[in-house]
Amino acid sequence: MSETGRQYWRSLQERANSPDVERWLQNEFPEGATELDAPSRRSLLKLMGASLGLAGLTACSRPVEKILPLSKGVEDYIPGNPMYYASVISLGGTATGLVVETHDGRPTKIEGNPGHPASGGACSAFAQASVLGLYDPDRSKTVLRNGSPASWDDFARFAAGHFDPARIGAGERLRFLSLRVNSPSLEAVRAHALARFPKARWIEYEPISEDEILAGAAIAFAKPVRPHYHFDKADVVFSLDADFLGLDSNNIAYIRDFSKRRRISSPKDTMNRLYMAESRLSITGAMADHRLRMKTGAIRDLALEVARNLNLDVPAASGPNAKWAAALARDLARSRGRSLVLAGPRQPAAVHALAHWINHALANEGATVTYTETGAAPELPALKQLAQELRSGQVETLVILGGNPAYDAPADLRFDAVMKNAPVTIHLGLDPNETAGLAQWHLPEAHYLESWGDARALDGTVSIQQPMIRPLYGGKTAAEVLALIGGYKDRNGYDIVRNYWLPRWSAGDAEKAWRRALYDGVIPDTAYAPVEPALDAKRVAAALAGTAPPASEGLELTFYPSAATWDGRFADNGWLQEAPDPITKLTWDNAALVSPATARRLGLETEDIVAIAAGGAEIEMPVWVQPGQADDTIAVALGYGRRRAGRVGRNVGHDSYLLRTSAAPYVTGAAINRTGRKYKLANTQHHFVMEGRPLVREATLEEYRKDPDFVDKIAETPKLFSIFGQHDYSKGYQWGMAIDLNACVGCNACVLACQAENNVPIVGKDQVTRGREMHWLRLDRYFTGPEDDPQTVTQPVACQQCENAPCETVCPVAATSHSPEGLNDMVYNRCVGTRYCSNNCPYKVRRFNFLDWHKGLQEVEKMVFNPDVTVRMRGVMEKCTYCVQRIQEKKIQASVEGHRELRDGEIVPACQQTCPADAIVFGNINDPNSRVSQLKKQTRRYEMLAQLNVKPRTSYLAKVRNPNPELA
Amino acid sequence: MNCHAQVKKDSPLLQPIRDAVATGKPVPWVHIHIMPGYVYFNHAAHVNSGVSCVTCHGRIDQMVRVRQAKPLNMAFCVDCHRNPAPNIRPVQFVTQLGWKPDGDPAAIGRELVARNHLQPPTNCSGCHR
Repeated sequence: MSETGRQYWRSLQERANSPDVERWLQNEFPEGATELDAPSRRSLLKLMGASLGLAGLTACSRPVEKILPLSKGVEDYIPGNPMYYASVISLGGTATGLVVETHDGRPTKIEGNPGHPASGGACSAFAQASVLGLYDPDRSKTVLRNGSPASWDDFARFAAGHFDPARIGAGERLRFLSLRVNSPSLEAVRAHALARFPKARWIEYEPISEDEILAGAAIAFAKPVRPHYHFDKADVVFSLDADFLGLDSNNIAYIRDFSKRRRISSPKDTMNRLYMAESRLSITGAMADHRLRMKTGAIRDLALEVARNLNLDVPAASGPNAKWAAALARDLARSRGRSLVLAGPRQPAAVHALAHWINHALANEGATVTYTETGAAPELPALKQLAQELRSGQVETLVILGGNPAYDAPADLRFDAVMKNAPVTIHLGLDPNETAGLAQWHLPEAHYLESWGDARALDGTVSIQQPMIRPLYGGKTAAEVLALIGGYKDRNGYDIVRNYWLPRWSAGDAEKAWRRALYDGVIPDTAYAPVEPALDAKRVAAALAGTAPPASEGLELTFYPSAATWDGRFADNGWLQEAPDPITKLTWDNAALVSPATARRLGLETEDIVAIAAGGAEIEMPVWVQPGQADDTIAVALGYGRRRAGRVGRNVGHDSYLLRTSAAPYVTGAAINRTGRKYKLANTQHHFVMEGRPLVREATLEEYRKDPDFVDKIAETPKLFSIFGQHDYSKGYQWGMAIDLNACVGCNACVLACQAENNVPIVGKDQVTRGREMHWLRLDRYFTGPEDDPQTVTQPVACQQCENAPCETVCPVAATSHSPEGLNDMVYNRCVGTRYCSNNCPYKVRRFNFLDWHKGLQEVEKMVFNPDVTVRMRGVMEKCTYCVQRIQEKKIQASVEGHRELRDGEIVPACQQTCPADAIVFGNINDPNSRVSQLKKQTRRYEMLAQLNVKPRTSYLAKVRNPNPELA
Repeated sequence: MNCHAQVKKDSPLLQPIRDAVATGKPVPWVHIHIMPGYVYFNHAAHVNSGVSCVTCHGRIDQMVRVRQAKPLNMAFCVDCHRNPAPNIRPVQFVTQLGWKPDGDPAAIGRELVARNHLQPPTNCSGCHR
């Protein structure tokens, strides 16, 4: 009997015949409630048993449920059918066009917009997880004035008086601090405000900086231009610390274009070749054919060596990598016009300028790299000036539109302290963060899914951002707040955006153009026109001569964005916190990454807490020994240790911003000291270790060309037969999947997409340490080679939908069975939780709900659930279903549309849908013309653990690397 | 209100609708044919495949007060899914609950099943996802 029953027995002995007892029995079991004499355990059990038995018969008095239809219909809305709207998400000043799936008037799933140049249908992990941020229960819900709830009317009254030009004059003491602006309509509202307050200043700041990129281009071309890379046109790519596939770019088109040149279908095909120099192993470094791990500060010298080898007149430099640099230079020279050199945000501007010079010398301009003119300027100088003005009391009013400068501004600026010098501070933000806590006014910001706006992609293409739900907490956008402050003609987001664009379409039918823009998600002809700036080699040479190489003794500390929180703004997003970092596989934490050799030298082990001193400050962090990290370097992720965050993000990880100064925002010298204490880190890489069996197969391009059947040589699969009769799968649709290990970069987008689509819960750090993470699709990251400098491969693993599934035969209650189309069906309502199926699964892809992961979920958090997928309870097994709800949706649609055949590519599981690299392909393997069938015909194809004769429906295409024979 | 602004505009039985229009609160219909939450049932697939209302709802067109005429348990559904022909009729007659075909209904159904490749799922994920 349950706990309640036991407690009840105890009270029964004390309270025989109590009316509580009567009432309880009456309500639960209508019959047999009256006799309750001489209570003993045995007679009570008999009584309960009888009542329980009778409960079925008296079920006619089941509770009455009501259906409440809409009293006023919504156009086009059919209950149960999702509606899709185009919108756009911005991160770090660049936008990705989206198509958002909504159920019953609330967004539930984010997808990319196939018509958007940056997206092509895909979107990143951050975009996938952003829908959870809309329903964050710890979002800002109300206007706060000095910490107490107030109303928008209160703020409007205050603003009317405070920002009255009669009082504030030309705004000499007014400052606006904003995140990077890439919204044309916001720019118009800003222009109006700055015209009203001509002496006010507008500062933009984001901690993940582009300053060196912009400064480098300005040096090389004597004007502010931005480079745009076209990896699909490049045969050879040389990246100077630019993690362009990962955290150093929000433009996922780079992944798509790069993967295009990585995918091969036969030995005759060519592949690109990627050379990388970096200190921290990034996912781009993991994809590299040749990777030099070196201090961030030493990369400049490597670039000079390569440039000298290409006969550019640059200062001499020598290092231990002369042979490497020479071979690389020859490779670049062989690929004139089809090569690409780029530098990352942590490299100084001079290195960027050098990269432009090399591209120019190799005639890459106009082919693999193009340029657009941009008004953007480096941000840090303006922020420093603002901090100085705040410190000296020159600022009366500081309006902070989004962001969290009190947390993420360079530590030496003491922004949290100097902010208080301004008598009036107004902060607009999504969550009541560190900056909100210090501001006089905190205004709740509207999430992008609930507000109007517009946004530019990196190439300039504009998309309208349209809301799919009314602001949950009455939040407003930056444009709306600025319109209020500046007295703009329009005050609400809809009018601001519409009245910005309609006049621009006055040549034709403006209303039609507006509706078209909303439908397509793209405004045509808004991309920037490329420019062809002239490279000034002398300026570059002068800049290079002017920069001395940084001191190389001691440890070098580099900062990088977090794959989970970006710059800290997503700290409250549980999905992102729990998604394992693509390289370290850490969850819910950041750590100080050190190489194995450095760890040995300093006597450090993983999970040792160390004190790191840099930039005049010291913090404590756990160590993570990371293969592939450069020796004598430490890498720490930004965006952790948030003090003022919600229940999910508070105090997760360690705040590395404290070490970051304006003099050294990317790289700095550091000292490290053991404290002797330990810290538990939740890491998933040791879960599901599969003991040395050839789960990943790879070869070089040479080897593949010599022997196209190399996958069969790596692992001999014996002749397979079964003593059982095999099912005939030759008829009808048979679902299968192919995953190309050459294309997958390990970005985590598929993991987050699956989580969003299938209501996969998060379990928290403690449960992750017990191996109980619930991701249906995981990315297994394997190293090969020497522990200090390994090669890396990432393999997405989900339920393989085995034809001879070992999980199906062992379920005692037949909760998992096989569908005639080849899917392994999981029936949650039958499952009793023996976990025998997971025990028998050779791939360990079944996830068990050990606890009720949805306990205590607030009502608003339930709004993110996809209603087409069951939300599982404690005690139930779950796993990837090839998105069976999407399969059924399309089959039903085809049936309704005249019982037609399904077309290849019509059913797209969530993982395939979002993959920027197009690495996952699902389809009908009985159709010889389907994409998945074509991929499975490749000789690179293999199945994991094929020798077990489980016949998985998911095939992998072995990884092929393309090393330079000169560097073999 | 469109229709009932004219049709039976004073009928006391239509008061809930007038109230809903006046106050904006929805008409609270009593849910009769309730599927448990772990069943995903799609109405359009059935109607468009030629399953008439009468198969699952009985002569609902003749019910003054709707009641549940069929058990609607899993056995009821699976029995038909395993042998749909007797319950399949041409789509245009789906809403004619009293329709009687000339000839054997099962034979007509078999022909429709074959012509339209109707394959009602009998595997678990057909309804449980």
